[in-house]
Amino acid sequence: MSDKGKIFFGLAIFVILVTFPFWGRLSAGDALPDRAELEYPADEEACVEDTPFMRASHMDLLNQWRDELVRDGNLEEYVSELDGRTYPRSLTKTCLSCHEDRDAFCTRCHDYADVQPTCWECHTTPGGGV
Amino acid sequence: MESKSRRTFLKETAGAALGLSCGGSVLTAACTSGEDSHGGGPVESQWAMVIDMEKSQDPAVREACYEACIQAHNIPRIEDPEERIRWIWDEEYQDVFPDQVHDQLPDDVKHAPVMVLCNHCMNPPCVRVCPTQATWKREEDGIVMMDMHRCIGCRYCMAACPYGSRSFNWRDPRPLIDKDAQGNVASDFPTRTRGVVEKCNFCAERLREGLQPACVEAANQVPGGEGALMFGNLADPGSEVNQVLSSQRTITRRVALGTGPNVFYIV
Repeated sequence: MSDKGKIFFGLAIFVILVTFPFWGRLSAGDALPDRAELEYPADEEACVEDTPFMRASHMDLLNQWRDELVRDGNLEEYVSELDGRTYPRSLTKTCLSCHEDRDAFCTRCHDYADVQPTCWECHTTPGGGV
Repeated sequence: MESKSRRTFLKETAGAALGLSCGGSVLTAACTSGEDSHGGGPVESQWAMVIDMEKSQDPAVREACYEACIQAHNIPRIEDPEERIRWIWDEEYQDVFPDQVHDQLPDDVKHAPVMVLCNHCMNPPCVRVCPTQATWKREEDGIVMMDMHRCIGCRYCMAACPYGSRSFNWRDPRPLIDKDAQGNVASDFPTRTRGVVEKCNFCAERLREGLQPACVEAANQVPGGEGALMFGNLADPGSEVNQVLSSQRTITRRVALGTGPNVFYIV
C-alpha cells in the first residue's frame, strides 16, 4: 500500500497529458479559428450543384466526371440536378473558369481543412498556369 | 477402428472435392474476368492513322508534327535518351520494320527515318499486363487510353509494348516543359508527375472537340506535307483512311505478333 501515492501521482500526470489538447486550448483563451475567407465568383449565382453538396462532395463529383469522360468516353455535358444547366466535365474548363483565383478559393479552404490534394501537380489553370 | 478410418476417409474426400470445386470456380472466374476487362474486346469504332512514308521523308514535315505534339500535350524536353518522354518521333526503317529488312536493301532505305507513335492496337499487350487498369482500350473509339490517377508506375506496360511506345517519368517533368514569359505552359492538357508512364493518346482531348490530332493538323499545314498523315475512323466506310487502305499498299509494324496495330504505313 506504500505505492498508493506514486500510483495516483502517475495517473494524474497521465490524465493531464491526455487531456492537454482540451484544457490547453481553453486556458490559452483561443476561440476556434475563423472559417476560411473564400472569394466567390462575382457574376455567378450558383455552383454546379448546391453549396452543401459541393462543399462535402466536390472531390467525388470530379472523380465521377473523370471516369465518365475519360474512361467511358461520355461526351455529353454534365446536367446539374440543381437547375438543369449543363457543364463540360472539366476541372480546368468548368471549375477554374469561374473560380479564377485558385489560391483565394481552393487553396484557402484546403489549408483550413488541412488537406493536401495533389490536383495541381498535373492540372493547370485556364491558359496553362502551373 | 475400421469405421473410424472410413469416416476419416470420407471426410477428407469430401473436403478435397469441395476445395477442388471452389478452387476451380475461383480460377475460372478469374480467367473470365480477365478476358472481360483486359485485351482486345470488340470496339464500337476505331480511330486509325495512315502515314505516307514518302511524304514524311521531308524533315520539315516531321519536325512540325513533333513540335505540335509537344505543345499540345506539354511534353518536357529531356535530352538524356534514357529519360526522355516521346509520344511521336523518328526511328530508322530497319528498326521500325525489322522483319522487312533483307541483305539487298540499300543503306539509305535501311536508315530512312520513319515516324512512330502508339499503334492503339486491336489487342494491346500493355492493357493485358496493367495491374490497375490505368491503361485500357476504350470501347467507344478504340483508343488505348491512360488514366494517370491510377498509374502506379510499375512499368509492366513498357515491358509489354513491342513498339517502345511508352515513356516513364523518372523526374518531375514540369521544370522541363516550355513556358512563355508569364511562366504558363503551352496548353491546358494536364502535365504529368514523377512516377507515371505516358504515351500518345491519339489526341483524345482534341477528337472530343471535333478536331484532328495535333500532328495531323500540323503536317497538313506544311507545304508538301498535305496528306503525310491521315486520320479517320475505320468504322466509317467513307473515311479517308478507309479509302487509302482499300486503294494503296499499306503495312503495319510487326504483324506476326498479332497485336493488330491501327497505325498504317504507305510503302
